[in-house]
Amino acid sequence: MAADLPEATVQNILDQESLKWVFVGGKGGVGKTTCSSILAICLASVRSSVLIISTDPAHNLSDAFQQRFTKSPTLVQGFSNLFAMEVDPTVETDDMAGTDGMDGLFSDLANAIPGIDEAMSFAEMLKLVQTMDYATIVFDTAPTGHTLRLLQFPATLEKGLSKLMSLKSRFGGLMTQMSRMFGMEDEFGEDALLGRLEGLKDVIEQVNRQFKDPDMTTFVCVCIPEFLSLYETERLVQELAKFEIDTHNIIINQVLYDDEDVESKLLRARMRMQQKYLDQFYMLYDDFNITKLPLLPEEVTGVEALKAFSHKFLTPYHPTTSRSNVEELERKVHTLRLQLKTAEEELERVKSG
Amino acid sequence: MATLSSYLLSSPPLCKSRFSATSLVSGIDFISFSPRTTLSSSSTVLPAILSLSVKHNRRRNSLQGSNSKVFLFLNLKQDWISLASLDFDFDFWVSVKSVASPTETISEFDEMVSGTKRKYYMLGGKGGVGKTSCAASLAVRFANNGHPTLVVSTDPAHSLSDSFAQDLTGGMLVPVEGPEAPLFALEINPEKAREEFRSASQMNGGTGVKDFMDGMGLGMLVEQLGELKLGELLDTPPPGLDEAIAISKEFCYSIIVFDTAPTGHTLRLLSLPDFLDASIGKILKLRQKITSATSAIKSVFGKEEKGPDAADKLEKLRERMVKVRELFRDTESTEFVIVTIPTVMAVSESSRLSASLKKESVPVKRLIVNQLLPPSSSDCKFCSIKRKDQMRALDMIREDSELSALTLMEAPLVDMEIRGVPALRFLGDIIWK
Repeated sequence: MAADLPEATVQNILDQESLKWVFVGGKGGVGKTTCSSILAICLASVRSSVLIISTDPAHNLSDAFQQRFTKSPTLVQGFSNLFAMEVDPTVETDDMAGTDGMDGLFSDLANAIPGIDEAMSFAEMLKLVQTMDYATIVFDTAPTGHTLRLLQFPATLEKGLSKLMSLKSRFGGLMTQMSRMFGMEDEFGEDALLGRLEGLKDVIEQVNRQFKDPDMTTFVCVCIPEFLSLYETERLVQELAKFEIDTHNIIINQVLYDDEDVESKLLRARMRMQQKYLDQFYMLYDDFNITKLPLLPEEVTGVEALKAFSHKFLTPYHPTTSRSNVEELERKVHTLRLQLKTAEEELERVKSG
Repeated sequence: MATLSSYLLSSPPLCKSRFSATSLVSGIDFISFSPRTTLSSSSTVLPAILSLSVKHNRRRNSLQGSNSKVFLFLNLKQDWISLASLDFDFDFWVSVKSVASPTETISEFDEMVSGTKRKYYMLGGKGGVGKTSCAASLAVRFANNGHPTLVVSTDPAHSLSDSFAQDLTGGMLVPVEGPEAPLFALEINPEKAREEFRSASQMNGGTGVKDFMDGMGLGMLVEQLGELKLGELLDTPPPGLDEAIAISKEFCYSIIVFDTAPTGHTLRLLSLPDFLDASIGKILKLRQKITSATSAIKSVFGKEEKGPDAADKLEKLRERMVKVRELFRDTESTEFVIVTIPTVMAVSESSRLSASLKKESVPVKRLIVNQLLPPSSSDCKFCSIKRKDQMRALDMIREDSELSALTLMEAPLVDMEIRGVPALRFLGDIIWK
């Protein structure tokens, strides 16, 4: 029975050497940045070079690594092959003002399409990343709504470019006839914007094909065992299926386990609530690799904390293992140091026990 | 029921008729805002609404003795400088409310409902911190205090239905069952918003050119141009467009609460009016060029030049964008409430959000810290460590230059999911004191 279930870790991602693009997404506040950071760290141990990109306008990558990142790749401290960058797809593209006549018409038409500059910025970023030759690229994406629109960019841009080309060829021919009829001078020159778009087109087509290739791209859904997160994960999985993007990993974060430390009535009640949704996750996604991560009392920030937490990505968490006992003792020692009197009593119990 | 899109397409009606149009949406509004309403009118509405109507009617009756012209005049003069710009029916209702509770002490919540202009509250912050629960509980509390309220969800996940434990999907106004005063909820339908945007920006300058081309035997070419279906390029409206369209529709509610999408979306929302202004400006400029070219060609053949389209939908949309931009920075009627949880990462993001809002001149006064562990005499080890971690985050808030100036409001972590109006009322009483 256990052998039939998919492996409950993300080891399959590390083992898939042909993988180039890894997207990490999900509802807001479920721990996407932490998971993508740790995933990048795990990949850095088996790949020659790894780049993690944050595409969420509200960047958190700098907070997770406790290091300032910019729009260009920066080496993460403590690593020799892990880089990070924070990109905002809404960066303004160069203004095409100044062009007159027919070229001006096309420029205005192109720039008037809502979201086109966003797609172009994304395309420029992809083009840049392609030339950097990283073995694997991890995307720390924005909450679901942004992610779905981000994944549409390649297809949207491809469609837009085709239409613009057709429009120019037909309209241009018409205006040529008009010019000849009235003896006007030829006003047409190569449109700078269209030239730029043509330059991007090959890159977009290539990336679009790669995104649809299960060997090169996969999407990891991160969620927590709550109703809204379950609902949004289902929505995300369905949309990804429409986009033909592979997804077979789910990370369930902030899980409360039946641990010795978890004693209060409040946490017990929340544990029972979570169990209901955990069951639904396993029922809905029985063919996915589902990794469960425990809810820690302390926040996971900084490289050392991320490394420590990364072990739980590769080994299913068991609260009753000997490692857990060690953690218990460490917590007890921590508590004893805070209160001397209580510490002595605790120490006596540990010795006698 | 009248659809919301009809408001966008129709030209702005007179102030009086606007009330009449809106009253079709809900009988409650009709009764609340019109003192001339008779009890028999309410017999056509749902029984639940009927009971609310009776209550409203009874309240007005108790003040009937002092409801003379002189009284009303004095009250208006005392409270407002300009009488000409008032909506008589609306302010009359507010006047009655203020008379009914003259000795009420001022509290945080009372400050939020003071004044007579329509109030907008936008709740935003990091994803997953409980914005929807806070927005819904705020709306319930407003409604329970007698203020007609509309709560709008623009997050694609549409968690408002879950919060109220009631199906609010469909992109239409839905009355929420339970609160004492009118409470309506609206989950923006992205598809509908997209259609409205596309229809508003539809370019229709082809007719003249088509006729001209037909005359020259080139009609086929125009047909081919039409087949390009350029409208498809507008399939991806920028994020925040749905908020803008929702705001541009005029509802007769005292308070409108927005449950926004996570931070990144909100930051884009702030720059949206400028973005759309530029975008629509370019479309209009393009149309102008096409029109000029068409006119030039026609003048060669002696045809008359067509006059400009007086009722340009696109121009109206642009004007609405300008109004939205001004509304965002109106310190009297708009307030942005930041919701966060006591973790270092969430506090950092809230600080950046506050800085961005200040940079954009958006009023921010309050910060809600959600999911705090409630006080307990017997902490288990897990809770003890968790509590220390949370206290560290709270200290970070107090020391942060951006967040320390905001009024701090706390919300506890509870052992059950906050779903349904009774649970929201419970939460609202804790947060919004």
